[in-house]
Amino acid sequence: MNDENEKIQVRKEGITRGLIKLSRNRLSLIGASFLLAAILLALLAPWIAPYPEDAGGAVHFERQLKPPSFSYLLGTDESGRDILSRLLYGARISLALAVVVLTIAFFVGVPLGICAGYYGGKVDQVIMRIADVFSSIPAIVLALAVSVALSPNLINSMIAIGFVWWRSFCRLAYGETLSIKQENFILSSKSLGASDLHIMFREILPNMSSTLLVKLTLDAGFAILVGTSISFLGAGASPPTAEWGLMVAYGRHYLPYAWWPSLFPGLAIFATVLSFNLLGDGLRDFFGVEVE
Amino acid sequence: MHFLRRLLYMMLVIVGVSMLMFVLVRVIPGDPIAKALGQGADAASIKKMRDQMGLDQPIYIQYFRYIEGITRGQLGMSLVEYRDTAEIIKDKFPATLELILASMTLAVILAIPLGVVSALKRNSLTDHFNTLISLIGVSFPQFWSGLMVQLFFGYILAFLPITGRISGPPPMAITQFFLIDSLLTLNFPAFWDALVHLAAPAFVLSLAPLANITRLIRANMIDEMSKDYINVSKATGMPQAVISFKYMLRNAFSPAMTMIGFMIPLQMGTAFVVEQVFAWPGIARFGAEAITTNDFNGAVGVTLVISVAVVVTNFIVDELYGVLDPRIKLRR
Amino acid sequence: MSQDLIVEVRSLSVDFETIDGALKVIREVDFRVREGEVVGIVGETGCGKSVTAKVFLGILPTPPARIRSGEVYFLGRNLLTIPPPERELLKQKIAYIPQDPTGSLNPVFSIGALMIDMIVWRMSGQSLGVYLRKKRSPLIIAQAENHAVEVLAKLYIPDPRSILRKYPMELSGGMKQRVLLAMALSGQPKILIADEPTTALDATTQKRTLHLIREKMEEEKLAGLYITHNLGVARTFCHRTYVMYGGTVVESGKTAELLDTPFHPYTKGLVDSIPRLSGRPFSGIDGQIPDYLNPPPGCRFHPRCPARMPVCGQEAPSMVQVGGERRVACWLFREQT
Repeated sequence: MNDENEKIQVRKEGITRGLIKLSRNRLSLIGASFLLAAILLALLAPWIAPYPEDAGGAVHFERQLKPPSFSYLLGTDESGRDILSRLLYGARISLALAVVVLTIAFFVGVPLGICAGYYGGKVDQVIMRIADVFSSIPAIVLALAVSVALSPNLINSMIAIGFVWWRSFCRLAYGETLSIKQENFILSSKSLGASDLHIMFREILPNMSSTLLVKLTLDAGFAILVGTSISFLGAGASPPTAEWGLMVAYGRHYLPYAWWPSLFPGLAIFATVLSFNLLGDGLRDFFGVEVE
Repeated sequence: MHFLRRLLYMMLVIVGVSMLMFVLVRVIPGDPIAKALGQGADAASIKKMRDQMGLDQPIYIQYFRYIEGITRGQLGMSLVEYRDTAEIIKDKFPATLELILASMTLAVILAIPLGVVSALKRNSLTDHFNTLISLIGVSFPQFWSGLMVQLFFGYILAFLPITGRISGPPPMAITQFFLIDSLLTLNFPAFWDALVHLAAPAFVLSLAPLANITRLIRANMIDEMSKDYINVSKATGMPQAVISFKYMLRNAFSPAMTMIGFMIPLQMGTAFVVEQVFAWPGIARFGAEAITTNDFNGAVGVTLVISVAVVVTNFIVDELYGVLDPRIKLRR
Repeated sequence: MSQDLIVEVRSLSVDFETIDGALKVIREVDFRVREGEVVGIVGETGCGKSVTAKVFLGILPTPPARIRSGEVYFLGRNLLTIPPPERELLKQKIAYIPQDPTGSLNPVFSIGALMIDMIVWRMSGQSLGVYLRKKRSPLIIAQAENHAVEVLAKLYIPDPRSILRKYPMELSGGMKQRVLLAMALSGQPKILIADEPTTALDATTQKRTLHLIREKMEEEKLAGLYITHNLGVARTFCHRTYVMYGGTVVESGKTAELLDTPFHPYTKGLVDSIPRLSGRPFSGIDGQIPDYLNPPPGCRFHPRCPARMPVCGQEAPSMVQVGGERRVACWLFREQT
């Protein structure tokens, strides 16, 4: 009985100390709060955007390319649409992209990686070699190719990026599995007759949860970078969708005179990715894990 | 023996990549030939082109013909420029390579002092600031930072050109690297011209590696500071400058070397947007165009070359790591 | 400070900052070393003896450590307050051999490279510019190399010229220790600081290395500061010894006297704990080392002291002289002239 209490006590202390450490890291707090704000804004977009119809195909040529002012806080784009409203809707798209990409990557990559690491032998070779093939093509290139292959639109670009992203989750899960499976508690479970599935998903997986969490946070940012890049290159969202990368691509034509259509969406991307990185970095320190 | 095995494996991966890309670019809806030939093309010429390119044959036959073509040094005709992809790549690859190498060089040159100073002044304002900069460096959407750099240096300050590789005539082609060629031929105006054109895109491309390398060097230097041999040198009065920049840096830098090697392939991906923004005539820009216009030969060709570059670079870096750290060699 | 004092440390107090608070690792430590004298600092692991030495050598990492108060005099100058160039110059007169020879030589440089750096730097009068220029002169390098060979030969290192070309990982532990000793002695130091230099070696090499150190110190009439937990070594080696416990000095005096007739209860306990061949029951000291975060009030040893009195938990005793060179910090003893 006392052992249990002691364990809980030690754990509580550990968490408290960790939280103190985290809160001292002001940067990650800033990142976390910005993200929270961004998510909130994205969810509430339809209600708080000043010109919600501008997020879609509305066209108001009479107010095209107006600089930031009181009525249009961030100015208007080449079709007269309010940039602020479009930014808010763009947040929904990018955050949704992060969720879709990471979900695909996680649920495909992690089980494959665990299997490869756990079973070893032929399974290992086959899975990891396929992962290697995918890894030797830079993310943007492959995502671009897949997106085009599926016929370029926003949803397909999300799937394409997810298709590319599984490889790094697979790698990570593989490496972690290799080191975790040496641990004694795994060996004892095996000798007690636990099924492979049980060991893999109820014993090995929870032990890499902190590493996976850090990776998910950091990768969310990078996934958004790739997603907006793909849209910028024309293989993702198509007009009039209010996607950040697309907005920059179209605003580009009006540089340097109208700088706001390109500046603000890019700034939004930057701020969002930075927040993910700040938070992820803080989490990385908090958990003491090593993830690149 | 081990070396051969890895070489073989490398080739296997490349073959895998070629198959993947091959299938991928042929799974497209719509008819790329029709699109490429334009509005006025009639059914007959479209069919003729398809036959010429063997597009109506089963996919594995197409693949074998493709491989056969490779052995002859051909990568199939590109629909973007109507000549063999291999030629196009030969023309454009040096531009991309020059850009990537310039960006990595810039990143390393800037990262070393930043990393060393950060480590020496740990936990001070300078250090936190540098860490923040590192995180910022990797968060930029490169197409956007490219545009902002163009805006700032090209228009507002107006002292850097913002598109293209060179304005005047290029130097005589020896290595195809404008910087080297112009120096070799003592063509200083061309050197300067090429340099200023390289500045902006190389800078944008160097931001992310700069951030990562700085962090790496900082972390390694901090590890070094607690090493016994450093303490011995300090205790016996060796000057801090020698200790930091000779004794610590030497040990801190070599693990960074391999990371740097691995970054080079990653840069290829980023080059896709940077070349686009700066109108840099490299294979990344060509590749982006090829992929988005369904030019399958172009797309497969470029991707293949890039993956080969990635795989080969990783291979070399892995081997190099074994050389630099004898313990790795022994463990193998 | 009298003429022949090489080292004088006064009221040194050091804290270690951690997340949970400040660890008060060293409190009011005083010690001194005279010319030609070998002084030992003994105590169990964690008593602060290494930290003390590291403060003197200037290799304590100062975040997280913080020197709260105290003065550290070497050859008459306070190492804690003088500007770095002067400090570095003084440090050239300090020889240091650390505990573990394995990590003490930079693995990516050859022995020759390391030694030549040291020798050439000493010829450069604290100027980086001069140093860099000299490094490029083949004449100077050759001179430095010869000097290095001489120094290595003095320590009976066979074939010194080829050793110069070797890398640290090619040498055995004992050989590394000798090279370190050679490097330490190469600058005509005034004092040798040895931090448990033989614990990482096997028994026979230990003995040989100790003999060698002793021989060289006598030859060069070197003063010494010897940190150890081994009382036997202290007896063989050190003229005077300080006993530390929980970050404070509890007793000091001529080594032989101290170990034969210990005064402080802790020293008594230490001496009694040495297993003897004559079959006396083996006794240890009850309890554990103090919690540095919240050290016991008063005398830090009092919770474990068999002779404790109420005053021990209230006020910390200061060091009093109890005859000749002996000093004790314990309420059981009063100042005697």
